[in-house]
Amino acid sequence: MERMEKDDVVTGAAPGSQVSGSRGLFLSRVVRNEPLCREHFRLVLEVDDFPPAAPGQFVQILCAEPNELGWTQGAFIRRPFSIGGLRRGGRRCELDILYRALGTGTRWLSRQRKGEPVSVLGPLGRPFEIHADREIAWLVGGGIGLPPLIWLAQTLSAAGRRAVAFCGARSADFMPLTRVAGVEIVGEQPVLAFEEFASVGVPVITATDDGSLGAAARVPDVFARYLDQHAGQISSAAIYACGPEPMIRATAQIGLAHGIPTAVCLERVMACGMGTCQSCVVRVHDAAAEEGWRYRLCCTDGPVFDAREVVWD
Amino acid sequence: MLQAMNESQVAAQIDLSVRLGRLTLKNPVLTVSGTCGYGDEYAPFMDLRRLGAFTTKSVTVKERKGNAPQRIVETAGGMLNAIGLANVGLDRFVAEKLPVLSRLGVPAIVNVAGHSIDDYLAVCARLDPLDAVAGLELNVSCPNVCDGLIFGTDPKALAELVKQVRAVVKRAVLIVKLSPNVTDITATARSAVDSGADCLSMINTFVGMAINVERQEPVLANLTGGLSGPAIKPLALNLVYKVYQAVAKPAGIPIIGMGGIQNWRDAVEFLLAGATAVGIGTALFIDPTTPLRVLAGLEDYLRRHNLKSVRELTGRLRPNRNEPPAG
Ligand SMILES: Cc1cc2nc3c(=O)[nH]c(=O)nc-3n(C[C@H](O)[C@H](O)[C@H](O)COP(=O)(O)OP(=O)(O)OC[C@H]3O[C@@H](n4cnc5c(N)ncnc54)[C@H](O)[C@@H]3O)c2cc1C
Ligand SMILES: Cc1cc2nc3c(=O)[nH]c(=O)nc-3n(C[C@H](O)[C@H](O)[C@H](O)COP(=O)(O)O)c2cc1C
Ligand code: FES
Repeated sequence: MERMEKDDVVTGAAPGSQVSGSRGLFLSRVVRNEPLCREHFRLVLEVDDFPPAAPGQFVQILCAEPNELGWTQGAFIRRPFSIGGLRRGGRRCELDILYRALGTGTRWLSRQRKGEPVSVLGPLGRPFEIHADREIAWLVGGGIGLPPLIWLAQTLSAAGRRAVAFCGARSADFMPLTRVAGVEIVGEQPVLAFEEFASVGVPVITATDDGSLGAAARVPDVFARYLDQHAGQISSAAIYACGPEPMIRATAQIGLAHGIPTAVCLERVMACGMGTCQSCVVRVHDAAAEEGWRYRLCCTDGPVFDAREVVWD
Repeated sequence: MLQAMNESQVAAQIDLSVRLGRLTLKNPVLTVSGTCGYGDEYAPFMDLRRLGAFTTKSVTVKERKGNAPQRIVETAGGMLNAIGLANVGLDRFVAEKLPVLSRLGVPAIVNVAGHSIDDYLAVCARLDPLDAVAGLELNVSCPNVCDGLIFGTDPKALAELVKQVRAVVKRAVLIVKLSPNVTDITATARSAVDSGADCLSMINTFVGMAINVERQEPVLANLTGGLSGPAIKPLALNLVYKVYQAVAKPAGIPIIGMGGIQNWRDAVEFLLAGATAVGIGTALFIDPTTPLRVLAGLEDYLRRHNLKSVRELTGRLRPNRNEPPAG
C-alpha cells in the first residue's frame, strides 16, 4: 500500500481522543515476560497515567500487532486478564499479568520481549469489596485464578487483615507461584511457601490433583477441612474465590452453607469487556424476573459477584 | 500534518457532512447496532459528539434475555456472535436509556427488532415522536433469532412490513438494515425502497458456524452465529456496490455501508462502492476510538485528492484501467 501512517496501527488511543479518569486505552511496554512454570508466564507491563484500579479488576490486552489490512499475526479480539499486581511511581505504573500460554493470543503474548509495545485497555470490571467487619480473609484459588488473589492478598495485608490462601493446581509444575527457598510444604499446613503471598505475610495451604505438591486433594475439600478445624473464626471471616468454575462453585457452596460472605471472581468468554457486546453473561437470581433469574454481564457487573447472587447450575 | 492544523481550519476546507433522508449528519462515520451499547459506554475513550451518529442495540417490545452462553467466538479475521437480541425492552429503553442517549449530543438512531409487524409498529410508533430519536433502523436481518429473519429474506414480507411502519414513522429517518443471507440482495433492497425506506444500511452479519473438534459439538450454544469483522469486508463491499448500482443510485437513496471496517481505507472503499456513510462495529471492541482514526484519515484522504466534500466520493469508483503497477 502506498500510504501507511503510524496511526493506522492500533496503538494507544487515537489522536484527539481522551482518557477519562476511570479507564482508557494505553500503549504499554514489556518490562519482563518470563516463564513461571510449565504453562504460565509472568508479564510486567509499564504504562503511564493508568487510572486507579483495585484487585478483581482486569484489562483487555490486544495479543497481536495489527497491520493495515486488519489481519493480524496474533489474536483478533482482545483477551481479558486479571491485574495480578500494580505498582506506582510518579506517572508510571507497572502492571503484573500472570497468564497461561494455551491459545493463539496467549502464545503470541509469550513471545513478546522487553521493550516491545502491547496495547492495554482498562482497568475494567468491578473489584473485590473488602468487608469492614471481617478481619479474616480466606483466599481460595486455582491455576489461573490466582492472579487477582495475589494482588488482593497485598491489599488485605495493607489494610491490616489476616489472610490464609488455599492454592490449587493440576500438579507441582503447573503451580504459577514462586517457591520460597528452604520452606517445605507438608500436607495441609499453612506455610509461607510462595513469594507472592509470603512477602505480605500470607501463609498458603497447597493442593494438587496428583499430590506432587502439598495435599493430594481438590482445593475446596482442603478448604472445607480447614473450616471445620477453625469453626470459631467463621463469624469474622470472608471468602474470596477465583479459579476454574467447578472449584469456585464448590467453594461458594461451602461459604453459603456456613453463612460466610463469599465473593467469586468469574470468567466468561468476552469480546468487548466494556458492556457493549452482551457476550459475557452470568446467570443471577432475580425474584422479579421471569423464571426467577436474569443475566448480568461479567465484564461490567462483575467479574466479582456475591456468591449468593449467582445461579450455580 | 493533520495535527498541525486546528480543527476549524480543517472544517472550513472540507465538508464532511452527509444527508440520510431529512437528517443531516456532520460527518459520515457512525457506530453500529449491537457494538456500542445504548449510550455512554465508550464515553471514557472519546468525545462521542464527534460521531456522525450513534446506533443503539436492537430494541424489542419486551425485554429479552438473549441466548445461552457461549455467545461469541473468534474465527479467522473476525468473530461469530449469537447474542439473541438481548435488550432491556421498550419501556426500560425509553425510561432509562433514552435520557442518556439524548444527552450525548449526537444524532441517535434506534435499531428496532421484532417477531411480527405489530412488534415493529409498537416500537416505532412509540419512539418516532420523541425528539431524542433521529432515526429508526429496522433490523429485519438478525440471524440469531428464528422468526425475525423472514422479513429480511422475503421481499414480499419486507414490503408489507416497511409499508406499515412507514405509515407510523413521520419524524424520524426510516432506515432498513439488509441481511446478506439472501440469494439476491437487490430484491430485498428494492422492496424496502419501493415501500418507503429513506435509507438502507448494509449489511448485518453472515450466518456462520464454529465447531469444537475435541468435544465434537458447536462452540456457540445457539449452534450458529453471525460473522462480523474484516473477514466479511470484501463480501459486504460487493453487496453495497450491487445495491448502489441497481437500486440506491437510481432511486436517490443513501446507503450506510458496514462490514469489517477497521480504518479509513476500508471506509473510503465503502464510499467509493456507493455508500454515503459508514458504520463501525466489531472494530470498536478492539479500539473504541476507531471512528476518530477513520475521520482523521478520511479528511486527509479528501485533501490529498483535492475533494471539497466527502459526498463526492459516493459511488466514485472508476473502471479498472488495467495499468501495470508503477515502478
Ligand atoms: C475477567 C477475566 C480474567 C482473566 N484473567 C486471566 C489471567 O489472569 N490469566 C490468564 O491466563 N487467563 C485469564 N483469563 C482467561 C483468558 O482470557 C483466556 O485464557 C484467554 O482469553 C485465552 O486466549 P488465547 O487466545 O490464548 O486462547 P484461545 O485460542 O482464544 O482459546 C483457548 C482456550 O481458552 C478459552 N478462552 C478463550 N477466551 C476466554 C475467556 N475470555 N475467558 C476464559 N476462557 C477463554 C477458549 O474457550 C479455549 O478453550 C481471564 C478471563 C476473564 C474473563
Ligand atoms: C456482538 C454483536 C452484536 C450485534 N447486535 C446487533 C443487533 O442487535 N442489531 C443489529 O441490527 N445488528 C447487530 N449486529 C450487527 C452489526 O450491527 C453489523 O451489521 C455487523 O457486525 C457488521 O459490521 P462490523 O463487521 O463492523 O461489525 C451485531 C454485531 C455484533 C458483532
Ligand atoms: S464482554 Fe462485551 S458485554 Fe461483556
